[in-house]
Amino acid sequence: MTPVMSNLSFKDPPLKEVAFSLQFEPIEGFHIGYLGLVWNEFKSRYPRVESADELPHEIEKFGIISRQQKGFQFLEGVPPPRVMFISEDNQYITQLQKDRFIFNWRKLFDESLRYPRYPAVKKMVLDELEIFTSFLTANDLESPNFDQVEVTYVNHIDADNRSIEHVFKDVIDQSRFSSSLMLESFSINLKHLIRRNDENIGRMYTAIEKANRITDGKDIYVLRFVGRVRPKVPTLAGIVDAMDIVREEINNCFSSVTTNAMHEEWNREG
Amino acid sequence: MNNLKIVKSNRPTLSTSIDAKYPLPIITTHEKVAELTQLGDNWDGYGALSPTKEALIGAMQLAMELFEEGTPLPDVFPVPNGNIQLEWSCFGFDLEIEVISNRKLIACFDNLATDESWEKPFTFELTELRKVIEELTLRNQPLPRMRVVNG
Repeated sequence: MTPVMSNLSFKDPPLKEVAFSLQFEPIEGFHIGYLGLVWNEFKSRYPRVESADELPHEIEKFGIISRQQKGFQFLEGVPPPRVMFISEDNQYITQLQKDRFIFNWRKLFDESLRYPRYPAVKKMVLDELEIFTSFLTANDLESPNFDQVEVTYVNHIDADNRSIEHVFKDVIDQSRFSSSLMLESFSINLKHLIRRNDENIGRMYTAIEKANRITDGKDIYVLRFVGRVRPKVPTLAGIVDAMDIVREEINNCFSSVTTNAMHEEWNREG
Repeated sequence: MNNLKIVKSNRPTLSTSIDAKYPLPIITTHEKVAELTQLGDNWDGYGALSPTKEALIGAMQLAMELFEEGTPLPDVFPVPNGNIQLEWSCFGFDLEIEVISNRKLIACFDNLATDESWEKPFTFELTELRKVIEELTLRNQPLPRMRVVNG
């Protein structure tokens, strides 16, 4: 695989949240008890625990009819949970369920927090993953057989005094509309196939919308990227390669939809 | 797997379509698959496993992903190993799809007219399977009536 390299880097990126979801075939014998036991390995760095609904096992398929689908759940007693181990400062979350390992970085309330940058976050993901896989080995459980890597980047861009044309390239030209119509909100969704060597290996979902920030009610533009790639091999090497591919494609999309003027505001470095 | 309940989640996927109403072959196949949730272990008297949750969801998703209005209805069978089989034997095609999960299928295809025949696993790339089902759907359409025009 030959990713298209993008050198996009900012000193002050508008990132609000980054998530790496590494999905694998359900591990035989990994029952709910292990979700509690594994916290021992994480609790020194993640003292808080929360639970959430299990995420469905999804992979990007090709050649199918694209139609809005309802998800299906088969209830069989109490559904198994997804556990969330949360760091003291709320910045980092490691999440586990029977077929996913998820690592999040987020900037909740402290706007002075800086995104640690992709190489550092990638190392954190792989370090935490190694702790999880060592736990599996120590408990005579099989190693994960990875079938999809999903990377999410969520950006919040202050919309006060910034027109949509100032922030996004060629998205909506408000000048085409009557001056009696003021754009109040919008939502744009793009879906791209990610291709390498003439094969479809994943999809990139780009969503742009205008919203109100929950914390202070301010108008913001939310720019969200979700990239999903099937690892070429279902091993650690495969997911590292897939993570790099998705990150590069997210950078490519970010560069394609945002303006140079905003790049300057965010202090572009590369 | 007894006491299973099917719940249609309101969480939409990222796919979009202008159609909100699903074609009849999808709805009917879903109903047939749902009936299989009533099967317990040893449903055949020979130790068969009840259909797995993974296979049930996989069969329902497959219908959503490949069936259109006019797709011939498949026969839907439980397989003793917990998988579910969808089967067509019509319009010169024999097609069997054993659904293991929403990401693991094994399909056997025979085109009786051309002797084309294959058996292969499918995971995320379903183009070849879709073409066969599209052809079945096409052959299931009523033939247009010949119009005789005099003079």
